[in-house]
Amino acid sequence: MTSDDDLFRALYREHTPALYALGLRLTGRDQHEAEDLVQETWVRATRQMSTFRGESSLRTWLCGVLVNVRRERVRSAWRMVDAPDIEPPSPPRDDAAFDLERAIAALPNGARDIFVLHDVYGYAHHEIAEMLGVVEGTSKSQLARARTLLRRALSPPSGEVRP
Amino acid sequence: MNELPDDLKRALAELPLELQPDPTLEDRVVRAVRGLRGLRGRGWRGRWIWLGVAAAAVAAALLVIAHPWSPAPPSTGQTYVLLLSPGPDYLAPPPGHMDERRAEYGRWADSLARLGKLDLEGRLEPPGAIVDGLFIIRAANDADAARIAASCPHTKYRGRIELRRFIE
Repeated sequence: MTSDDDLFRALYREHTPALYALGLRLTGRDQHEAEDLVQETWVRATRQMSTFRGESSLRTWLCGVLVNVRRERVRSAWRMVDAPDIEPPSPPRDDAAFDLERAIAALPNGARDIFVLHDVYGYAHHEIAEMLGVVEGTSKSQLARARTLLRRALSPPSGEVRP
Repeated sequence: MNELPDDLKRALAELPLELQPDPTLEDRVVRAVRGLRGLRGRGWRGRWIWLGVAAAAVAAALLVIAHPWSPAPPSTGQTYVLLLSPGPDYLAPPPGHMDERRAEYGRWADSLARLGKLDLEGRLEPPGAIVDGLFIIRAANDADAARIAASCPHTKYRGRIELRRFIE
C-alpha cells in the first residue's frame, strides 16, 4: 500500500460516516443511493479539490459537494421514474428515533432536503439556498411545510393515546 | 415561524450525524478515484497529498483559532501515542534548516498544550529509520486523535505517523 493510499483512506474513514449519514437522510434512507452519492462525492472532490480554499472545514466542503451531487441526480428524470427500493434503516437506538427517521424519510424530496440540512445539520437558510440553488424564501417555506408534515406524521391519530 | 416542539427538537439533536456504510464501499471508492482519467501516477499522488496538507492546515488553524490564548483545562478522554518516522517519501529539511523544522513541530506541540491535549513530546536519539519522535496526547476518541495526528506538520513533509491508543 502506498502512502497516498494511506492518506486517502484516512481521509475517507474520517469523513465518510458523516457523508453517508447525510446521504442516507437526503435519499429517504436509500442505502444504495446513499453509497453512490458518497462515491460520486469523493470522485467529484478529487476533481474539484483545487476549489477547496480552506474557508470552511474539509467536512463542510465535502458535504456541500454531496448536496450538489444529490441535486444533480434528482434532476435526472429517469431517476424520478425508477424509484429505488426503500431498505430498512440501520438498527435504530429506540422506537422514537426509528419513528423519527422514518417520518423524515417519508417527507417529499424538496422539503426533506431542506429539513435535513436545516433542522438536523444546522445549516442556515442562506447556506441552503446557495447549496440547492434556490432562493431563501423557498428554503423557509419548504422548511415550514416539512415541519408541518413531520409533526402530523408523528402525532397519534385523534382519540388514540400512545404509550 | 413554524417552530418544532421541544421534545422533537431534542429528538432531532440526538440523531446520529455519522453512520457507517457497507465496509466494501471504501475499496469501491478508492478504485473509482484511482481510475479517474488523468489522475494516475503523479497526478493521483499530488492531488491527495495536496488535500491532506490542506486538511491538516485547516485542522491546525482551527486548533489555534479555537483557543488562541487561554490555557484549556486538561482534556478528558484517552491517551494516544503518535510515533513519527521518516517513511519512504519524507521530505527532509535542507541542510542548515533542521532547527527551523524542529521549531515548527514545537509550535504545533505548543498549540496542543494550550488545549490541554499534550502530555509529552520528545525525540529519540540517535534518530532511527523506524521511529525518531513521539508525542503523547489526550484525545476524546479515535477520530479526535486522528484529527490531531492529521494536523501535525509531519504530514506536510510526507512523514509517517503511527497512531496508537495507550492502555493505562
